[in-house]
Amino acid sequence: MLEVRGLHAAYGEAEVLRDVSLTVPEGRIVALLGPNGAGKTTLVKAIARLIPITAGQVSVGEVDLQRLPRHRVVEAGVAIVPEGRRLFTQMTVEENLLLGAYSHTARASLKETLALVYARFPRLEERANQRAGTLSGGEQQMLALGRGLMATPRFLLMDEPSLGLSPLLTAQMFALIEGVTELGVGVLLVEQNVARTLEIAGYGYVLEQGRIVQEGDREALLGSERIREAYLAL
Amino acid sequence: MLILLQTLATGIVLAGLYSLFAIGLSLGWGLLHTINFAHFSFVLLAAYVTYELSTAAGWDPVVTMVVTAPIGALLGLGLQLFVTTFKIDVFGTLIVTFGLFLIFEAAMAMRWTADLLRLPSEINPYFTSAVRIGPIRVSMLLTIATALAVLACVGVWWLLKHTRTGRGIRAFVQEPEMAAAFGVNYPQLSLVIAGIAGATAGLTGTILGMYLSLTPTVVEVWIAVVFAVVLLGGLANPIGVMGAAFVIGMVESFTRQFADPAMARLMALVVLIIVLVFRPEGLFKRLVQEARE
Repeated sequence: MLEVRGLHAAYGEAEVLRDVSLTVPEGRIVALLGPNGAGKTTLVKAIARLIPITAGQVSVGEVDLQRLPRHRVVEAGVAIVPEGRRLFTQMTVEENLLLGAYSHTARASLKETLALVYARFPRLEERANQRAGTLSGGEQQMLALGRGLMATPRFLLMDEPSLGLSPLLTAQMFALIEGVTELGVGVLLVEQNVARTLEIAGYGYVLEQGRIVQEGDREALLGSERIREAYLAL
Repeated sequence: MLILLQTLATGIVLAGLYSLFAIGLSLGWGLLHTINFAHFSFVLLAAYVTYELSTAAGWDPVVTMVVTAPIGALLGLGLQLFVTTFKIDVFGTLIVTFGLFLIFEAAMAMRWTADLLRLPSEINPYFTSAVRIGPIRVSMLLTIATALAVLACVGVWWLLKHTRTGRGIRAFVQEPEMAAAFGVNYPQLSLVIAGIAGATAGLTGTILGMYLSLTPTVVEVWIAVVFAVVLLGGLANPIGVMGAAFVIGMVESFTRQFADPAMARLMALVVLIIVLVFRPEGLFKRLVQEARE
């Protein structure tokens, strides 16, 4: 279980996240919805310890992530597929994947994980020796997901994985995300594409102006007036 | 024809010395964001250590490398710890290390005075003897320097390209946040690079201790040509450093042979300026570029 309790974060004076609490169970997809500027990306970064938090707690099982040095968060089981992909563009596809398995915990099963990722993304194996920066947008997003999986995470934080992809690639990407849960990995999915997200997510939170304003399982969210009006345009 | 080959051979070993001198500076600049002016001080200090150990303690000067390389490595580590602790940016490091350079210069002048110190030729056979390949002769000392340079540059290239440590460093230079998120412990890895860079300064110092008459300011004339190699080679690109050193070494060697020896260094800098006008990135690419945000 990935648990966030009473989390606050600020950029300077401006408080961006206020008392945010959520949980992500293993093997499930949890959606994080909300308008631009609500603080979704900030929340993802705060969980991964890429930005400091001002109060609250983030834990995986018994492990308090705030107590770990930044480079050891991945060993606790949290990997990130960031907004804009942020690949190591000048390194090859395979080097990006190997870097995903950089941590001590992931390194032990490197060969198996690489075979597994290549089996899921044959495209990446075809392009193993190509520089990551020369891939198409869809392939880059696959690589970002593959890199995240290489860390053998228990939880994957995915920030706008369908951003900039064609409808066809978006559909593929959602199928791939759903596939991730078969590995027992819990996914926190930040998405603009709310309709599709609620097809694969069992539970969701709505973040507005830094606060969780609503939460519930798929049916409750799909039935809610707020979601239907603001996000599904029904 | 013979003269041509001889000039070529001289150029190659000169290039060896230049790459050995430049590789550490190039690594520090390209991977650690430290423009380490004190690299020249580390080199000179190592040269004096070689002088002391050879004259006072009677060591073979080449053997002193077992002391100078670790001294250089420790100095490199110390500087890197200082730079990370106080979070000094790249231009800051230029100022700080230039200050260090002046402090080292003053300290060495106090310890060894401004007199010329030269290893007597009877304990420094490497300087006078030559390696013969058919009719061609090249300095034994510069041949050693070239062997060390190839070892250092190819070794660093392999480290960066084919090891987990190297991948971590390259990833961090491109995307620091993501590299950390996947477990790269940069403060630790940066010490590996700083140590290697420092060790090459130690080795360079031992070579120069056998090559030059030492004074506290003797490295100053090397600054321009070494920076030329660093800039032409593409930062942190060990193979590029060797390539750039080859170009500069050849220009010097040929100018010395076929034009005016006094013009040799100058010509090397003219080449630098001409190349930088047309290729501001240098003759070779940087090994890793930072991500453009």
